[in-house]
Amino acid sequence: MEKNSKIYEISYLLSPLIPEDKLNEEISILRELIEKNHGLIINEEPAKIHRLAYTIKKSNMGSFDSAYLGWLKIMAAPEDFLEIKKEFEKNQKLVRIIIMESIQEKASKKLSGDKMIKKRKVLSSPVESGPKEEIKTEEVDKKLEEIIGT
Amino acid sequence: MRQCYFCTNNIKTIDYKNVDLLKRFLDPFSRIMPSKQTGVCTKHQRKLARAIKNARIISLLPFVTH
Repeated sequence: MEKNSKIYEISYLLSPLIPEDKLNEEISILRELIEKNHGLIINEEPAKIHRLAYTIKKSNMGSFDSAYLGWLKIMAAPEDFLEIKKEFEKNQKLVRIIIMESIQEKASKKLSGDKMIKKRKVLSSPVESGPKEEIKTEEVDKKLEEIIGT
Repeated sequence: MRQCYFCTNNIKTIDYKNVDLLKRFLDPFSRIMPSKQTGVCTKHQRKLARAIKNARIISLLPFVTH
């Protein structure tokens, strides 16, 4: 992966005319498209049928009120991403796409939480106050005898 | 004066896919409510408007409601 590669998020609406058993095939086509153009898929949400907020009309597909909505998070160089974008726009099965630059999710959040727990554990451990003196039973007996004797 | 919802909840990025959250800042006609009414700060109002507009493009939110 190149140094200047960026993270992009692509949300897409796939045509609802695609039967559910062929949906995975269509998504794998999109994945192949990205991999062919040296893109790396970081994260993705599988497409699910979604009721649209308004009717979308397409001259070649007709109009529909629902579509398969999914998103992909990819890492690619800007010049490679242009190719990916062009290929996506050419795809006839895609009703609509939205592309934006994204940021990488911080995986350190969970780690910091663990650190906090560790810190708390350290704090809650008993504080040692210097080396302990060994108490001999003979000395204790002597002292007790003194106390009883007086 | 009302506090900014996003500042108080420490929300730095507004996700356009979080429809339930975005709907809170739309009026009954699906128009973006002004910050005067919602108390959202200027910085987050800009991010919120962008997120709502993106959600509209991908048909998660309507442009208008009659």
